[in-house]
Amino acid sequence: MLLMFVLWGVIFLGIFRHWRWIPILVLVNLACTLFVLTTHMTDPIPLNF
Amino acid sequence: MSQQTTLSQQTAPSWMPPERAVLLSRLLNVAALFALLGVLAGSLQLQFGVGEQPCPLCIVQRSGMFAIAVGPMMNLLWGIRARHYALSILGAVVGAAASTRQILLHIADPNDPGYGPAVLGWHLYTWALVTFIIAIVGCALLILWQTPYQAGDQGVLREPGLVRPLGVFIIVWVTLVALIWIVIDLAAVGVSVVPECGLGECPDDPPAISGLGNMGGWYAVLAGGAVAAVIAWVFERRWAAKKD
Repeated sequence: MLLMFVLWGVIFLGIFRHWRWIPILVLVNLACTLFVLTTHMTDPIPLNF
Repeated sequence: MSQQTTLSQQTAPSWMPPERAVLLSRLLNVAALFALLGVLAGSLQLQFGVGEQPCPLCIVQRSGMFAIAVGPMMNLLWGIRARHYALSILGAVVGAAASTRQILLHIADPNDPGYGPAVLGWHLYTWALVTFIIAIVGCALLILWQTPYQAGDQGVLREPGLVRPLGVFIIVWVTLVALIWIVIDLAAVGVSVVPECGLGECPDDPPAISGLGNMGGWYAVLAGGAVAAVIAWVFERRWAAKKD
């Protein structure tokens, strides 16, 4: 969880500093966020979402 | 504004000069950031004021909110580009997945009262889904509007786009306030994750904490804005001095 927000901090710093690879880091962090989401999708619910 | 345009952009019909379209786009991006700050303020007030700790899915949705902010931030500092909106759309989709999951989780059981207090009849995760959908639709509409991209915008700090000093001060200062306030909110959310979750996963049903009180929570949230305003003013003065 903490890693997500640390990465957002690096990304925001990179936006201020004009680091060109920031869009890639955004995609990495979104993948990280999705992974965290899947780890908390443990309860079975209708629609099997 | 520089004249870096492509052939397809040159032939695109426009009802507004590109420079003015850039200014309008910037205002819309700043407004989007303040709207996002409003949503974050509501959740932070519940956490620090009322003492309602965010659940793991709520934290994932907060991550989605910060992902939405990436597009407007890049637009304002790097220049208006369609791909910046694309990043916000992707972030909103991830956040919407988390909020949809949480909504389904709580409507699956008719006796489930939902997580946390309701605001204007809806729980925060429902409002979060509304926010993500608005972000997706808004970004899609702004991608459809081609005129701002024709100006080859380089960002507010490189090309303020206004002539009058007061206008330049206002657009730069307001932009910096929004950007810095988002960073302050990120710091608050990031730091608050540590005592709740440590370095690993968060508990599914975190215990409530003693908050600052209803008004105390709002004061804490607004204090973040006040700090952002002061820092932005200092940055703007330095930027103006360097520019002159």
